[in-house]
Amino acid sequence: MNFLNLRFLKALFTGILLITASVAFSQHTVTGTVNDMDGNTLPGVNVTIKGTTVGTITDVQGQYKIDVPGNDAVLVFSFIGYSKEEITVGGQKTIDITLMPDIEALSEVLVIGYGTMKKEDKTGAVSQVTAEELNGGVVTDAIQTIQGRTPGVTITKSGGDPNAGFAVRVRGANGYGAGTSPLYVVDGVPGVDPTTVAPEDIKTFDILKDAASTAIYGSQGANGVIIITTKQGTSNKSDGNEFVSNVNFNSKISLDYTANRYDMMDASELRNYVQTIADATGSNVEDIFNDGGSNTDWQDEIFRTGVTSSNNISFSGGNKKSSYYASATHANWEGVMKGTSKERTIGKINVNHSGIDDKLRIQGSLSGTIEHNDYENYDGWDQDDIIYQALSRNPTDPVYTENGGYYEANRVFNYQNPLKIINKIQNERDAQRFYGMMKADLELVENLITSARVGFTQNDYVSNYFKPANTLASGNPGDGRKQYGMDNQKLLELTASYSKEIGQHSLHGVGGYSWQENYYEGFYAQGESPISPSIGINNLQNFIDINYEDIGSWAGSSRLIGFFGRVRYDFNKKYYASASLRRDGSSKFGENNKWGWFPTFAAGWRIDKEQFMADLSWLDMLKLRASYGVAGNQDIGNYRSLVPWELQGPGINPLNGETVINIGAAWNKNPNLQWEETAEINIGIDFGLLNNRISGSMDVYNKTTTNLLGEVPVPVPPNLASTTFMNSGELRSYGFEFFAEGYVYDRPSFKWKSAISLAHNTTKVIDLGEGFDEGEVSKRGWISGRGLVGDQNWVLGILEGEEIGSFYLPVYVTLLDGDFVYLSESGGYTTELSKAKRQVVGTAAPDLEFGWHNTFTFYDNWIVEVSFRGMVGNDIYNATEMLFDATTNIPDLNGLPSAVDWYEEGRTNAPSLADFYV
Amino acid sequence: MKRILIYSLLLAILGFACTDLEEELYDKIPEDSYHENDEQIANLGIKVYTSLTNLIDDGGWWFLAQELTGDGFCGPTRAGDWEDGGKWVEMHRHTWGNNTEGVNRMWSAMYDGVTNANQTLDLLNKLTSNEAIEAKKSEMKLMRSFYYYLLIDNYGDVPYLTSAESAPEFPFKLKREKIFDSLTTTVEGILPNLKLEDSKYLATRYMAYALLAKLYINAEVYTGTPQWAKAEMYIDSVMTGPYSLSNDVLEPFVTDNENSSEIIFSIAFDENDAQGFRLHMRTLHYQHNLKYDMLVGPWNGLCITPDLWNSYTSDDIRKDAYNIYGQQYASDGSEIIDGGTEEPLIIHPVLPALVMTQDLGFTLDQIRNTGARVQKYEIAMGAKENLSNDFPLFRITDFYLMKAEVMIRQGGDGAGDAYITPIRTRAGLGAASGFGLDSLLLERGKELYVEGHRRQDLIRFDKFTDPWWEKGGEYEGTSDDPSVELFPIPKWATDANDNLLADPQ
Repeated sequence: MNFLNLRFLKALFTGILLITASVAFSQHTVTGTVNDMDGNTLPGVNVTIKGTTVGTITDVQGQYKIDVPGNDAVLVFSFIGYSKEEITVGGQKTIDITLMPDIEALSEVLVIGYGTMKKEDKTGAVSQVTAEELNGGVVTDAIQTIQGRTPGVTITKSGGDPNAGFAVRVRGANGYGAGTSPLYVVDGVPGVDPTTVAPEDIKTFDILKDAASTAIYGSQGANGVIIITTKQGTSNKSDGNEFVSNVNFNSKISLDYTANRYDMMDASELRNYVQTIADATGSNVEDIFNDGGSNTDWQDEIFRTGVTSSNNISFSGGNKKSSYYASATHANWEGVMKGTSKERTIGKINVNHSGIDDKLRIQGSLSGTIEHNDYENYDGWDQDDIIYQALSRNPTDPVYTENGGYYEANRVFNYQNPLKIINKIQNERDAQRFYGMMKADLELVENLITSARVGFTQNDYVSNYFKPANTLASGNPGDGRKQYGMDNQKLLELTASYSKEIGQHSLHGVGGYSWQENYYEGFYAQGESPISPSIGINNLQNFIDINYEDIGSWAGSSRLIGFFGRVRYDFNKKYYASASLRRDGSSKFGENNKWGWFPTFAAGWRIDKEQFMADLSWLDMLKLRASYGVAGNQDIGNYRSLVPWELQGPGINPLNGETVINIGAAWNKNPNLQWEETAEINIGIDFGLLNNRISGSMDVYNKTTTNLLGEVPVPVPPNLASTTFMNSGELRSYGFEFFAEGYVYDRPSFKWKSAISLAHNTTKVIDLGEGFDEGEVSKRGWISGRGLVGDQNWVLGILEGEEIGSFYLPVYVTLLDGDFVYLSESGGYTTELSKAKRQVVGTAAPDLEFGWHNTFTFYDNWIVEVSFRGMVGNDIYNATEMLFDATTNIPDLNGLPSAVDWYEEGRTNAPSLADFYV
Repeated sequence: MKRILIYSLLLAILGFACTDLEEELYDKIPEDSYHENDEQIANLGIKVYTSLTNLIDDGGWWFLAQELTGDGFCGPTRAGDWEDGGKWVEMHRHTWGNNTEGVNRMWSAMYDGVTNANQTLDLLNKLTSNEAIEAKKSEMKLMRSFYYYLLIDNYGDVPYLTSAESAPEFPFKLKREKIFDSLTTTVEGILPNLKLEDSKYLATRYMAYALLAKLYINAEVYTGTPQWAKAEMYIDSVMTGPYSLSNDVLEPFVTDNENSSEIIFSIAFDENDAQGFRLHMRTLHYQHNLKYDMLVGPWNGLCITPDLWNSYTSDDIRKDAYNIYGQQYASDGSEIIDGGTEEPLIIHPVLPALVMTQDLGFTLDQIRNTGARVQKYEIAMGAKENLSNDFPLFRITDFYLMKAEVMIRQGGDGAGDAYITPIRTRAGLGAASGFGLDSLLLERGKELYVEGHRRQDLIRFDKFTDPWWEKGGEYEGTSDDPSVELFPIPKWATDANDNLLADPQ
């Protein structure tokens, strides 16, 4: 949505002039036929009179008939996939025309690792989303703009906290011990935080999905690669030395509401319940319940309408030698939860210059981000977790006392007024992020380009936490903490690429070296019992009570080195083959296994170019692709292969009673720690139909991840520490992706472009690896809450042969003496969770993910977007229902109305797991 | 072509120069540099003692499991608080499983101690031997034996490993009696190397005597064969040491109890540097922070059982000394108002039930304000979440009562009266007369309340499987099932090592 649209005004003026002109000339009819290059007639071509909304389309024989206002009229022939043609009518009665394929459309360029390629030449599963296709609206992170746009890329975020990040998975999560986020490459620099890129500055997203495409990034490729290319200054409007400039301004505003609130009991429902139990037990209401005398909806108190705004201004320009793009973006997100917000400003400059007869090209990029976050805790059940406190808080308690203070009560342990928590506790962070990149390309000899790229990124943050004394109803001495952290990354890449075409043979090769070093450090200081609530954390001398471990710091580094090469070959744009190899080393792995090989092979066949397909005029493009590749994952913490001795807190020297600091092993050493590897086969089809009016692709894949990295619990003794990082286990993922886009309706006055994406992924565990016997389960999805203690409160199980994300739960049978009865492991029944038999009752993984995007364009100027995206067949465990449907905490705390139903059925047990919460 | 070659060569050279993947450690000590100095060597064994701090609270559960499974102390459900998935109630009713929190954590905490001791021993074995190192090794072996004593006491047959480095990957269990033999032999063998001094945090020779006395007095439980005479021998060795009964029943439990004349061996606690003693947080009423000027609000939980409460006679000094009950006042003398009933806080000492909720017919006053609370361990004014009182593992009063016990067992009722009388008279009661095992067990329960002895005592006196208060009989829970005298090896441990399921060696 453009804020200002100059194009619209211009069109209006031209229209007025034409209407005036038409009076002078007599009207006549023009007919004709439209053909393509091969002489086939083209039906459905738009024929319009320039500057008007008058127009028609060609019929099935490619023929049209149109009344023109006079000889000066200009006919415009337009059709998707073909270049637009304009012809002045003059005196002609018949105008036949041949439309030429739109070269630009066919030569869309994909950005792949260490290079680019034409879209039609691709052999792997690579998708591109361009700036025009990005999701509109105010987004918190740039990645949100491709949500639902590309099959196989799942982008999720829970809750209404603007500070929560997005979880991005390409073709499912490949593991569970090491990281599963894709690698982000921004303008060629891998490992850049994508939140530092303003959505408005993005030119394209290129998503490399199959291992054959990602393995050029070797070690970091196994979870997919998302390449972000930012806008550069344009010089194509300039015919030479003239410097052409553009200014763009964008402003957006949006409102956020909570979509679903929990149906907690209101005060009268709770009072009714108290009366019910008083009647049932013969008690006096006053003896069993302390009525706060009020009527409070605590969710109304902590939620609000969040106002979000974003402003972006960009300047760009250039001539044939030099160009620049500069932008500034400011956005402010107010969370729907009171006390949560995020403010971010991004400044960016891209500069390009070429010299020595265009043999040398220099590209530079600088960007800086400043961000301020305001946090609340909300995902646990602690004293300062505001959602838990609001849901569980007694609705008869007022928010404020009569004299305006916060109303506090002491109904149970950890019972806090969430409004007081929100307003009294300071929990903030300020971050600065810097990104700098320079690249030089030199054409050394003809067709051989050597490049050097250096990149540097640094993130710094300071976080401040301050809780004044007596913020909590039960009393607290007050505490504060200041923390500073920094991480940076240095990158050096040297590459050489060579391209040659000999007759029908075309060859591209690239080889290079990559060196990357990451370093991080930070420190914190904290204390208790501040003397001044107003000084807070701004002077740490405010804290009187300071002990060992109230100051601390950390530092660490890692290094990645790679050598890589890739060759692509095609014969007559009909047969394609490519292969690449990367030798990657990571400092994180054991001394025996620091280096790994990552090979790939891929092939493509343009079937439509074969003789036997020539007759199918409706088929413009059909390509079969197949690829195989091995990519790696090294996304674990540092030093995991070594036995580092770490400080493990204070102890008392038994000889003299003095405090000393203990030293112990952080984990066990593993000199064999090595790459997690994903081998993937991908088979795909690209197609273009009906004169490329509809195009798309389909992919099926099967990937196997072996040597899964993970922290395995090991017995102590014999081990030094209770965990070892090792490679063990195996996963298999398979799925399909389908994408198609096209014009449903295409007239000058109204265009409807629609894009559909469908994807399915299944990830199954083949082998859980070390530490698990046949039939054993890796427990995940731990739920915590009041009354949930012990080690049975997990809902997800990773089992061999089952999907990742399977809900593995005890099967509820009936209620007996107030308790849940489950099927037991021994074949009978039990009320004990630890003896209950668990089984897979659903999966969090969807059967199908879909996205459907529609763009409606009216009169070339007004655009309306309608998008649907979602998942089908995924299950959810309703933990909130489980935590609040038991009467054990009621009436001191609030619950769901279903708790009263349970009470009437005779249930007395505390919140307990059961399959029916799925 | 030539230039391509030159360029490739350049790239290759650069590559070889930049293939360094050595990891650089910044905030940890590399394996090959540890130990960096003599102080680190001197401090080697301290972790073995630090592991003791986990035994008391829910990090390691030993203390909680010893007391809450007994007849004197319990964790009642108070409406929404202290239900906690049933983990407190199942201790009282002996219905725990092999996946219960207490069972799981006690195992880890005890083996942490064993492993720390073994690791230290492995390192000491690599150093050139001298007298100091040999003494240190003996100290470590004694500490390891202490942890194994806890392990065989609670779990029976367990893996018995004496080195961290040469331990098998999947060890088997060893029979309890074999471990018992090895422990007694080991400790008796190192006695000469141990310091013969009153040093309460250190594994001294007196601590070794105390441990041997405990092992032998339980020999019948551990091996099937009683060894009362041997037990008596080591009890005597302890009693000839520099320890004496104090006049005040609370003296060994004050905040600064490191100089108590009673304590032989204790866990060093400090509210900042050695945390892990939070009994006051678990027992005190929500509003008791007003009484002690505490900056944190306690959790209103653990308290005495009606059985033990009712067994104290009104003239017993320990009744008021150990327990908090009656109307409660803030430090400034004002009445404390209970936040639930909004009435003045009166602690009713007799707990009406183990599980109290409104829908079972209990009032807010019953739910919140019943069961006398523990003040045996002094709660300092301004106490934080952790106490600074040291926790006595061995104190001389216990050995007086143990002396009486072995004398009764060898000489019949009344034979131990002389050693019970001082304990009783200190408590304001009459001299012991004709005390048999039942009255001794009762006396131990009243005297040694919340000191971590109760489970072991009830088992040794063969009363652990009897029904009491809300265990067995008309209530849920096991009685007459001797299998509850041992905790099962946790499921997580048998899952990690199948050999733990095999018959012991």
